[in-house]
Amino acid sequence: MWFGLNRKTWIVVGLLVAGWVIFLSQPTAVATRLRMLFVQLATPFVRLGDYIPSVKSRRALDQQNRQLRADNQALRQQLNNLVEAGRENLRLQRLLDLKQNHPLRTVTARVIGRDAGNWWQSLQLDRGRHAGLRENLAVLNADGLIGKTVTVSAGESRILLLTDPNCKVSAIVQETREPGVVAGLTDTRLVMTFVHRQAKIPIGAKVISSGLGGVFPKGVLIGTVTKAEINAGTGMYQDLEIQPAVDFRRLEEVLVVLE
Amino acid sequence: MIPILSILILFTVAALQVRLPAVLGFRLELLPALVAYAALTFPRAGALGFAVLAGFLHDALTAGPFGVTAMVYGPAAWFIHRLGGALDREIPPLQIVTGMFVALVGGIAGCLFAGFNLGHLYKLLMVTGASAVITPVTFFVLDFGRYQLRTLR
Repeated sequence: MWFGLNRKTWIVVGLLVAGWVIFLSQPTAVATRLRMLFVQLATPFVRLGDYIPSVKSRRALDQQNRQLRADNQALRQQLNNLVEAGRENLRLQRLLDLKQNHPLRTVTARVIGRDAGNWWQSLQLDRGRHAGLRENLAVLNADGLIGKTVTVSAGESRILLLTDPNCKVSAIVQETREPGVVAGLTDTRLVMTFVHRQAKIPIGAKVISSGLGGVFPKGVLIGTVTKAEINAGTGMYQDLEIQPAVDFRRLEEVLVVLE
Repeated sequence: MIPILSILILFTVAALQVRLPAVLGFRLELLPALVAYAALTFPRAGALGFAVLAGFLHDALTAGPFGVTAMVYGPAAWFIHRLGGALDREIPPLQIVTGMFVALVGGIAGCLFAGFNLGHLYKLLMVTGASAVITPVTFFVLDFGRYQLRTLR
């Protein structure tokens, strides 16, 4: 007897937990369906966040109407909105330019949520299967490569960011054409591994996607090299530390590459 | 009424968690405090169901494997519920310890799949530490809400 349970019950509990681990940690159809169900149930709540600023504005306007300086406040609010609309216009214009410059079929999506945990680097988008999205599609913006889609449901999807160690991209150094594999190092840094140990990589060199692997299109900027050193573990190749071209904390709209 | 309200609160808090920006290099996790609250407040089946639901919701809103957090939140809630019978849930240190416990086991489960490194260790400590603050506040707010609801009835 331990904690009020006999040995047999503990064995049953242990088997159930082990079964759960094996069953749910695998990408089975049931686990995927369950995940989609929960995502679909949670998304309306996540999207509610979009309305919070407007609710605040209305409340603020009601208060302002009761005050003597109501007109002044309303005009300031309008000015802020115009500035925000102007900035959004610029961002969308850049995305549009990128769309026109790249011969890629893309879908524009808005970021509606971040990762609920601290152990993975991902974002939730407001577009899903209905917009033509599926798993393993490249995601980018005007600044560079962002990541790839990992789970897609009817109306929303989740993308794994480049800063996550599980998101690996085949890349080349633009100037020297030296190949390697880019993956996440920290929340704000990337590392390019398997670079030839004899290769001379200048600090500040640009790293772009190589197009190998079939997920990420060729030639999309990933970042710039900030440090190059021989891999401490094996000494067989170089590791390049990379400053990402994209500011992952401030993503609002992205392009998902369909083809 | 209470189960529906609890689920609505759970979904709202989960949505808030994915909306919050990272602070000091880590993201605040609000669900562990809710799980601790449910474990010390609801009957056993309710607490267990709530914890598993919270875990599934957490997993659905991350890029990690589905079911991992649910797997640890459930037993954690059951464990706290059993202890709770012998302890006074009104004591803030107990609330703090239970919130930290849920955050810690949830974090360790996440790290088991995402990998242990210094960055994750820092986040694990920060998330657990933050739960020490979030949990008593959650207890205060939800107990106040429950009291108000009872008064309305």
